[in-house]
Amino acid sequence: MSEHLRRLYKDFELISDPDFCDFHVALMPPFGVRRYVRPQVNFSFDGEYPFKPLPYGQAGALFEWGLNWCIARHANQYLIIHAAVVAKDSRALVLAGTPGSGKSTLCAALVCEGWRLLSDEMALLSVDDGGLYPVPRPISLKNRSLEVISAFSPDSVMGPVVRDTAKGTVGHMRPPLQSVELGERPARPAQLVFPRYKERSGTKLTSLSKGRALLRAAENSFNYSVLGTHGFNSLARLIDDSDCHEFQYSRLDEAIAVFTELAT
Amino acid sequence: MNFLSPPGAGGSGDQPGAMRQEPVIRIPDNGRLLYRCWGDEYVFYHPATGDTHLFDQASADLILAVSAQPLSRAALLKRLAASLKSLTDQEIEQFLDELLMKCGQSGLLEVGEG
Repeated sequence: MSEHLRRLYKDFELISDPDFCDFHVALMPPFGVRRYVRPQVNFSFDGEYPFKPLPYGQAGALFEWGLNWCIARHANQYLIIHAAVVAKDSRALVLAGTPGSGKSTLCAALVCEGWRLLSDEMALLSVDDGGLYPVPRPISLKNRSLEVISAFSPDSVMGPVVRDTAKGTVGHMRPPLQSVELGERPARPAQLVFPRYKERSGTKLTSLSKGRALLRAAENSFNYSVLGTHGFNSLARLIDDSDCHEFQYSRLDEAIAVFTELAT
Repeated sequence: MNFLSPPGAGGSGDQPGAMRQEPVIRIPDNGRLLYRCWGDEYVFYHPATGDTHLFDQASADLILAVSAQPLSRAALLKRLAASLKSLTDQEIEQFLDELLMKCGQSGLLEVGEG
């Protein structure tokens, strides 16, 4: 676990005496025999244990999943969409989609090419001002994506790789220093894209109507129904501000060329 | 709710000579709708159910009319006929019935007493 934090959170500020923290979380061994025999780890949130314990070797992954859960469950000042968010010159590209759509792989590749990371997992769209707020935490990569990104960018820093999790083999890529330093600066939405990785497919960017884009973004939101009319108004503003597309790809170099062109 | 055979429409229980008001189509519980349009696409948000719906221009025109004021089926047919001039009367009726069925099933519209 210390290796996970040391490698991936190297550039984050440590607060020794915080006046206020959004969440108080901890990783700790469960009570009883599982402290010693095939040891496990528990994630606690404000003294509660929202998940079942996992094998101790998965502590780093559990930490990341637990933090995602904390934000998705409680940060209702934002409309939260299941999406990666990167930016060029404060204009954000939102890559929305379900797990397996290839959004984290695309996100990691774009970040390796100099795009700013706002989030790998959740777009935090402010209900108040329509800005996209950053949570530039490590980028979660699964299975073959780990090799793909390591090969694409040999200089990228990866955390420990954990096998046999519920999501397969999981690892994380360290966020760039500059993205961490800009961790409190929001970006404006410019592009909303629904990517789909399809093996050996060509690269294809297709315009998506704004009405259909709104419905798909709502389907991919964690708290759209919780926010009611605020959720609808926030989503409508995102759609107003964005060009909307579907995107199919299999080659990262071609994908990056498309998004570079979109950003200019 | 069955939009095709609204309540009180010629059932055997009607009292001879009794005054009957024509049923109207309306938003449930006098509820309001939020909507946005982009081109000929209209997206409606129904706060009472939390559901979001996508409609074309002709359907949206009817829903907006009903949200402003409950309307009878005959009034809706008249509006549709004015906007869908290329369709036959039969096609217009079918269009309306399908729309009302869809909206009825999702709770966006209901039939009530006029």
